Amino acid sequence: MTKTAVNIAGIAMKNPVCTASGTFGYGDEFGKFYDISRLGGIMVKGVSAEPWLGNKGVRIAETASGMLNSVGLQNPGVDYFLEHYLPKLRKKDLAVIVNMVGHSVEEYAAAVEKLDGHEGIAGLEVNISCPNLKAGGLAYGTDPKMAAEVTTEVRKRTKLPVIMKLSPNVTSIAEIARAVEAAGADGVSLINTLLGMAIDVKTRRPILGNVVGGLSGPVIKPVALRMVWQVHQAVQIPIIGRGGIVTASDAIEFMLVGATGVAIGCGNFINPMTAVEVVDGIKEWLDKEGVTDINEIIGGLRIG
Amino acid sequence: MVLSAKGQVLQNIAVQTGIYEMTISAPEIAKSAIPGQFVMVRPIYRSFEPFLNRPFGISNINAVKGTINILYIIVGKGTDLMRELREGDDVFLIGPVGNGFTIKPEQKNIALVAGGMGIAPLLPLAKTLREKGVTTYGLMGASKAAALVGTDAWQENGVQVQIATDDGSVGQRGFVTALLEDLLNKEKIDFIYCCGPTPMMACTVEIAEKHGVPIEVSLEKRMGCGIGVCMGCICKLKEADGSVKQYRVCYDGPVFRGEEVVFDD
Repeated sequence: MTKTAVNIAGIAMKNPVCTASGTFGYGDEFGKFYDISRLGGIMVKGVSAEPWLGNKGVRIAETASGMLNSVGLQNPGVDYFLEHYLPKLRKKDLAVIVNMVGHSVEEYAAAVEKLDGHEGIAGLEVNISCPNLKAGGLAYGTDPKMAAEVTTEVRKRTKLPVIMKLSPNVTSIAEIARAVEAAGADGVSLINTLLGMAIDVKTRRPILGNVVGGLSGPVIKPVALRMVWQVHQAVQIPIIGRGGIVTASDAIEFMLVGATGVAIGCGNFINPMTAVEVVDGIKEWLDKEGVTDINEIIGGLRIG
Repeated sequence: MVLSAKGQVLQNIAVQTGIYEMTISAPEIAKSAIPGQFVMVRPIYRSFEPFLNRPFGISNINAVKGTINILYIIVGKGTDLMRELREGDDVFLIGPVGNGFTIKPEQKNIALVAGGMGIAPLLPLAKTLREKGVTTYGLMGASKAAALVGTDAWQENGVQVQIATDDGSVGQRGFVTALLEDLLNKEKIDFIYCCGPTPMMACTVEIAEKHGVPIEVSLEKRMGCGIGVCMGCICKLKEADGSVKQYRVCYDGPVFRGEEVVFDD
């Protein structure tokens, strides 16, 4: 029997496949397509201490092999999540990782204080790609000091595993990863979307209402693989790898460069069955390759 | 039951300049679809290019033959590829998605108000209404005669059709909303179903409210996923308490009660 279970910073998962925050809601919608208990974990849509309305105007633009979004983290808030979604997720057999967002250290602190202590939450994923309103909108995740500050503040308010979701919009993602590790992060998740734009030449205007947005999809996979590989060499804490995964092979590539877990993002949009197809495909690959424990392939990239 | 499924193209023909109709064999979807629901279409099965699926209102449902039809206008990369599809080609489908129109037994006189390609979801609705034996008026607005689609299918389903075109090349010159004003002044209409461009739907809802006739509208928005998770197709609805809340067109709609929709874009 092939062992597919992994443990990411104390979060036990029967297989390494999660769904990425913002691409899977809170699990309800996909129940129409399959039993979400087949997944290793769900990273729920980012929740903030208070509800956020998100951005105005066009929020989605297609690109070559991917898409841009400027949804702006619209969410009903932590309280609504705890009351309406967590009770349903608790009944499912998968790790519930709650993604949280904030515009200030105080907002992150408020969110984690509300989330801490609720049964059924396996861990927290902290999105630090949000703009720090007090620092002129600079994203927390683009500065090692700011990233470490959020990590520290979240860390001291909970015993849950804390996974920091890293932004790729930096010169050295390894430096940010080291900073959050030193500040007490239990794991890192990468990459978040790459900042991009799309233009309509007819109107000479940006397509997205927010002018810029986050790029995701197979188009970003090579960048994501490179970053996971670099971070894997820089830190000891486990990695959840993601960025353009749409097939089992994509997922295995992320594990080979050092990811313990993987997350499916906008692959969920284009084929609702993507995540379970990746779960099945990984098992098939392990069997074909004669690998008896999936943990053997983590960081197993052969160089030279 | 929503499915992601392989569909097979049975026919793909031009019905007007730049407007096509595709008949797809998709028995499971055809079995459960109701008027007003839509499908997400990927023209090349299992390809990741173009990346996103495209939403299309289902323009005909044939549960017996196991087929659905979609009407589409060539606007870009996705529809351009769709035009190239031939009999026997596979397409990737997610559907039926969204909530269809609600039909109540007490409705006896119905008006369908369509603008351009917005007629698509109102075509299977006409078929269903005919089966229920109600009197149906179909008001169609288009830019010109050469942009007119679907009115023949309305007629085949016993709909009393009236047309308005911007240039007067067929029917009355002007907007379809003028036809609705006239109809509501002459006939007792119990319910209106509407789909078309946003300004046209906003105006139709205004007229319906003025005449005290309940109305359902089918909204169209740029969509990422079509299954309720990407938050790309947000619309605003008025709540009973006067507040305004955001909803997903694909998942909470696309059909909404006209009076609750905030038409602000």
